[in-house]
Amino acid sequence: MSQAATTTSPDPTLAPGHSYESVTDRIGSIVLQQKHGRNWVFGFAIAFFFVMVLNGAIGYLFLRGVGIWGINVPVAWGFAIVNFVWWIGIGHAGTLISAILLLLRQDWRTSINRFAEAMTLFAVACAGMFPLLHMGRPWMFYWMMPYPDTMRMWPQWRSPLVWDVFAVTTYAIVSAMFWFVGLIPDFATLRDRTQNPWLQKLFGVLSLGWRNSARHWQRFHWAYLLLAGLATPLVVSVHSVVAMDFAAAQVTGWHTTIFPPYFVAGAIFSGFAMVLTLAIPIRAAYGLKDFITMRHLDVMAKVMLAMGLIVAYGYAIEAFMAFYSGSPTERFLTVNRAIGPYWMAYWSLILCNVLVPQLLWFGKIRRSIPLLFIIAIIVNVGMWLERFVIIVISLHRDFVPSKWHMYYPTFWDWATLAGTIGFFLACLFLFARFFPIISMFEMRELVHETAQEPKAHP
Amino acid sequence: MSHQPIQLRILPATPSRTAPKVWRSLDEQGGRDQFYESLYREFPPNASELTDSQSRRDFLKLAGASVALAGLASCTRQPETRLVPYVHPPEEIIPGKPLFYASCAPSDGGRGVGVLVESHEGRPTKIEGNPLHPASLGATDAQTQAAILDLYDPDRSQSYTRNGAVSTWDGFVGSVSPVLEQLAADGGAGLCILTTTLTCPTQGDLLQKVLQRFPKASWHQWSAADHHQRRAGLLRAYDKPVDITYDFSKADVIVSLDCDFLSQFPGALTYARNFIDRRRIRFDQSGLHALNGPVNRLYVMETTPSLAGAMAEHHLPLTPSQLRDFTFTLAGALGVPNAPPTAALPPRQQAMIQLLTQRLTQSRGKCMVLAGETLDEYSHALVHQINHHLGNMGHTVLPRQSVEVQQVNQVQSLSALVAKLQSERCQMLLILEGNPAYDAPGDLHFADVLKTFTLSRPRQGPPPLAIHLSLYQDETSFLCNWHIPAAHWLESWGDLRAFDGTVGLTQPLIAPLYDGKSAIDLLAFFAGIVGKSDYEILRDYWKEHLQTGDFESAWRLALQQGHLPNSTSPLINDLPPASLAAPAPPPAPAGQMELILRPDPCIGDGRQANNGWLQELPKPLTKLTWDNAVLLSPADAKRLNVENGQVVKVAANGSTIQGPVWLFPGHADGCITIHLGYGRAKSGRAGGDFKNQVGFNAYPLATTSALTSAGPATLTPTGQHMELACTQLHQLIDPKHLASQTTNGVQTIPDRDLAPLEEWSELVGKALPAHSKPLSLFPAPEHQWDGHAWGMSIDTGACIGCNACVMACQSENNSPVVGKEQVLMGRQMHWIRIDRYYRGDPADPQQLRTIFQPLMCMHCETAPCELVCPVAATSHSKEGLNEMTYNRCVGTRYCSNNCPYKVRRFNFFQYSDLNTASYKLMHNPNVTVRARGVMEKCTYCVQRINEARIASKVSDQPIPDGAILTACQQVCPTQAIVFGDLHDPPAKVNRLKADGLSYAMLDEQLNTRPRTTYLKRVRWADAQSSEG
Amino acid sequence: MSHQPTPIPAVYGLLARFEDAESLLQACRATRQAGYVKIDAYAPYPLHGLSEALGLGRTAVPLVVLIGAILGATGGFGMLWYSSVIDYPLNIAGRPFNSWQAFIPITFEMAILGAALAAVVGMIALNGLPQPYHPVFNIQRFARASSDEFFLCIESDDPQYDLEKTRQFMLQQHCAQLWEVPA
Repeated sequence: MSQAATTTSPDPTLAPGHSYESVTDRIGSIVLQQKHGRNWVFGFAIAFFFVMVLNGAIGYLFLRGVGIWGINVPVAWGFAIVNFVWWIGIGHAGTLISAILLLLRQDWRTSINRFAEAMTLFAVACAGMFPLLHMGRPWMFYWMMPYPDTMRMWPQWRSPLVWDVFAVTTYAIVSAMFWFVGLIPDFATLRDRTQNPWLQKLFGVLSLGWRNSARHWQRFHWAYLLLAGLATPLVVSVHSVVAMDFAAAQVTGWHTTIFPPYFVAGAIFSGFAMVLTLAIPIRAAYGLKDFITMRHLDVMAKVMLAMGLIVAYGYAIEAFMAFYSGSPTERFLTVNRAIGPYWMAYWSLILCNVLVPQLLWFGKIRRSIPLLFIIAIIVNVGMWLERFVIIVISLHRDFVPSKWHMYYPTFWDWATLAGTIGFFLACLFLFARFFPIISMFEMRELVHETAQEPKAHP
Repeated sequence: MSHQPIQLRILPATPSRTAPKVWRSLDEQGGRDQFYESLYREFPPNASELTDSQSRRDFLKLAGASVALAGLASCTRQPETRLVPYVHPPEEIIPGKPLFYASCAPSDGGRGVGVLVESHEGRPTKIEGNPLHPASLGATDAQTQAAILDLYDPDRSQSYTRNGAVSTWDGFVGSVSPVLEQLAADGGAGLCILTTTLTCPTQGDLLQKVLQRFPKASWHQWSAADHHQRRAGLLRAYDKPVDITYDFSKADVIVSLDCDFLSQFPGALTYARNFIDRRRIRFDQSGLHALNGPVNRLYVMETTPSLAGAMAEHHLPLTPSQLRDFTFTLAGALGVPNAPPTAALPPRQQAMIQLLTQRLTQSRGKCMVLAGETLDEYSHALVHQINHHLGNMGHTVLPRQSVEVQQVNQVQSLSALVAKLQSERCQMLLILEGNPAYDAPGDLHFADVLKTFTLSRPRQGPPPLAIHLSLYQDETSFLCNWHIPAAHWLESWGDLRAFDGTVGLTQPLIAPLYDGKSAIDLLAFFAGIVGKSDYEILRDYWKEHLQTGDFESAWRLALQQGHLPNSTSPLINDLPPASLAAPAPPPAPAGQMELILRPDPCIGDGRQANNGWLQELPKPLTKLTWDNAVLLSPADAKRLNVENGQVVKVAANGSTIQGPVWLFPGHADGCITIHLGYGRAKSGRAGGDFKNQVGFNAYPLATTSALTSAGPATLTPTGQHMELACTQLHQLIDPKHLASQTTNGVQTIPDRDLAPLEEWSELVGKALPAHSKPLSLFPAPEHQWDGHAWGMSIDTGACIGCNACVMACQSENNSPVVGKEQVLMGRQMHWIRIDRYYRGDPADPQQLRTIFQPLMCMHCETAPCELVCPVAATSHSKEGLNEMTYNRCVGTRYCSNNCPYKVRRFNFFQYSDLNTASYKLMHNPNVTVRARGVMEKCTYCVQRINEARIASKVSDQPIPDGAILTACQQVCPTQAIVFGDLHDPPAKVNRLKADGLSYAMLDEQLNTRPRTTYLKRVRWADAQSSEG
Repeated sequence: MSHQPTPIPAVYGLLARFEDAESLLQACRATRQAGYVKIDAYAPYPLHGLSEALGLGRTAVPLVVLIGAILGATGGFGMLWYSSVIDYPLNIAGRPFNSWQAFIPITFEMAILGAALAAVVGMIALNGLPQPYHPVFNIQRFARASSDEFFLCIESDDPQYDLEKTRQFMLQQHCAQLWEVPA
């Protein structure tokens, strides 16, 4: 990392020659002046089409039952859970960027944390759908939460699924609050800048009457810092709990102590990939190249590389333990992964998550925006495959051979996946259009700091 | 539950025109026809669902009427000549308490098997074996279990039809009587009667009466796939009606020449029990003991792998022609007089011959040789000869007077009928049950003959008339002028001889749902008997034939016990050795494939083709569902370059059919097997019809000269492929790892061989660890309990894989049928799965061995499923049951993922049919009918446990061991399953769990501590010393 | 666009605009030395040193968060323990009723949730938000406080407040502009 850092020092976090006014204006104007262009309409239309596909898929699901999917016994969990874990993982990068990097005083986070957080929210929204949809009787979902039941029944607290419910719900709430708190001063800015009386009222309400007073800032600063401090362990715990959905079960290939850390790493890995996938087009579309500079892309690429290495280590140790432990089922599973009926899934996973990211060792590739974009997408695919490999391959051949069975996704499996992606993008389009996609007050702070001492980074 | 419009159809046995005592509408009271007409129009012929609005309106109208008469049906425990309102309930019936009635099922190929039928408020819901009946001993086969579904099958024929138009019984009587008068005039020369194999004395008697009325009439018999070679062989050997039963309890050595005496064989249930009883063992510190005399040895030569072959110590796969030579050579080697000479056999067979001659001669009078259907009648006769020679007659092989009313060569009998039909000498054809248009041998072209017969218009005399009595509007009914809906055996009176001649009494449990007629009714009509119900006819017959002092009490006792005392057909002690003429023509030329046609192990010869339970029941060895296939050995498949599911053309005896290939490990090379009973052209929703066929029909390949062993056939692969719904593809044990240990000269099969890879060896349990101290992170849990602790022990050594338990479970627990597509997706709903594993090299079928392991919920004490359920829908009862709370389940399916035995089943869709009225009558009221999105699994038949508990509380007595029988345990012919209280030391289940062969599956690795444990199967070495 | 302050009975205070952060910070220090206490400063971003310059004490937010965390944790574990030991004990997979090992994850999540809620609600409440009206917004230029300008306000209910004296004092602080804020 340090070696890599020296190569990038010339890159500024913020292009020179910017004043408080200019940053505020550039970002605020996206919301206030700029009319949404043809591209926005076009992109949103496509995304919205897939939202409709999602509606269709869910409607039919509720009508007929989960049988419309490819799941069976033994493979009782299929795409639904794969997508759930994938989406929640993507969400984590947002929290990580805004929270952990804030604590580590990484000034380069400033220009990407806002939409990273938004991404978190939307990803968690997508993820949150699946645990409900995959239930045999989704209309009973609230039985998983504690409430005054006339039968005095409670959830079964020993089940990792219930841990999941609590972890994910908490995560959603905290992310939302974190996002909103960060937005309050920017809403105030918009309130003060807009000419439109209605927008003024709207932003006035959203900003709760914020007036940039020193006292406000002081408490704001503390609350924001503490939220970041809380979000950091939270994000780790959430994906650890998700990992425990598998690790706490005794299915071979799930029952592994390494899962929590390696799931967290995987989450950050896919999350950063997704941030890159989004940041690259957005900075181009809205001319924010000054704020999201090469340095950002470069640093994110490095984080991706690091996480990729941890994940690769995870795969390696899994395979090693299978043979070292001497457990025959573990050994069989590992062999079955490599040369069983789903060998293609496994090897493409290795290609996407282990081999391709190695390209990021080279500065040239980290700087080539198209390559970076492609690699990011490949990593996203790879991380989806990882969940598929873990869930489906482990289940389809477990302890008793007489009940081995293949799993083939149906049309509705794919439709649901595509639908959630559409939903995610649609939300992002709306966000980019109607919210300040970069935190203005923090940019002003950045202007202030860079003015004081030009090279502002650790 | 009792508000079912269907009950409206419970009519007086013969709807009399006089005003009924109890009436349901003014129309009926007035006795006008419209009422009945409207009744029948409610379900027009073949209309299975109420689709068109017109009939739906009728339906609602009638449904409304039915509410007013809700109770009426409930009292029809037995059909009475009138219906009694429920305001005066019959004394026996206590609502909610089932009653059991002894009856007799025509399974076992038309022979009787005694049963006890469970009846809830007048609705038969479950069939159990009758322990007092010699052909049942408390067990039944899968087909008998499934009969309950036949009874309530909505596709059953529900109306009389005349040339397709709806009619009535009166209409039939009215139009046929005058014709009969005419026929009677010239002695009934034009009357032909076709029945199935008849073992029913009363029907026999009635037939005699009919033949007295029409002296020139002719009686023919045809039951497809009913041991024709065996019958012919007996006739040939003794040229008089003789039947042979076997006493396995006396046999030390059993040699089966392709005879599967464990299934689809007269007396199979009894034989299975006696056979296994001789193999019961105990393995304790002092070693291994045989409990019932020396353990018997089974040697099986077989073409198609069979259940018997799976139990054999030694089995040798042979083609039919090889088998024939083998039989001749064996006879010669044993020194049977004038045994036909044969060429020298290949070394392996020669070695087997030597082994067999040695064993057989060592145990004269204590052995038996059995012949199967692939052998021709000559070889059968020869085998009887062998048994004579070995002095088994009267000891292990028992000749008796035939149990059939008239033992004839049915092939000849049917051919004669066809000849009659073709020459215009036949004017009226009466077909009592059976479906010859579908299952007659191909070369008879029965369907065409029947068609031309019914359509022909002779110059003089009335137009020919064909009358068909059957449960369904099937292929034959379609070609007959008159179709008469038959009453199911659960709806009618009757009597049946068992394989050993014992007369069982068939007692109806419910009035005919669709005003069906029994064969007795119809024969009575033809015999000119009027105004007598089938009950009276039956009773009168036995009144004169039952030699006993007080008939009344004897009769009542007989009805109670389900069979007449000491009515077994007498033994023939002084049976002379068979006289053998020259052997039949030489077998098929080599080089070609030999074709074998067998009844399907599930749906038999096709009569139960429309039974969803049996269609979805995995076939014992191939584990195929919903289809038959061209079965051949992997070696042949390789040679012919065909693979599973590839469609091939099979040409034999001049006709060609198409069907998918299925590789069958252990199948003899050089021959193919096809199961009959599929490809029905007119059956129902499950059995299919000509538009959407289920499986393919192989009867066209059969000929009168070659029925089961159908001679040479040629296979030509086609490009097409077809998906077959097989429930177990992974079962072959890696041939490289055949380590098997030997204890006290006994070669045991370690349970490791129940898994396909050597890696699994440590997994599937070992003998229970001496210290069964729970390993746990947690402190000793506060769940100590000294009440009942239910547990089960399953003896894999006794399990013959017959599937009866699977059916019994489905019937007891209202398990749904899901259909082929769902099975293909791996979603079958059976709570019991009989895992079938192979050991050995598929390339060498002789070394291949088959092992069965019935698998249902293990009720683990540290159940992995419970731990992960987010809503506590599955939790542990004090008595150790792993309980499933359906209405708490939200369907996350996490429990199924975490179940290492994969015994949980999920309702991916709304599988159980909640709309079909008749199914509502069928369901067991003590078991929830599951809804969509809910997980389910074996409950140890908790409803039976609770029943016993209530009883014990009422009587204030403890629950005795054996008082609770789970459905699977109760039906098991070999008593392989034992259930009991682990806290009751003397209980049998504890004795078995203490046995050295007992192990808990996967417990070593996963610490699940299952309540169900297994006894390892012991494969007996062929050494005398091994009989410890 | 300076507009003439017209004598209005109720006055909220005097609002001064400063060109940059530094001069604001100096003005704040000076104002405090002059003994003014009822003062507030406005900056477009959290300006380091501003709270010290104004002599604001430590905020209560951290304490509120701690309390929130403790309540969340105890409440969470309490619920699990009560429901599975007292209210509805069930034998689940032969595990003890109080399987506290399995209760840890939820307890942890509840602690975080409690703390986070406390942080946000606490911050907003202590800031007296939401506040639909505040006098400083009567000055149009004050809108720039949210983008690039810095303000200092001495409120009229300050004991030392005196319109003339205070205005003089303010002018000495080289403020760019000065308004009388109507209440």
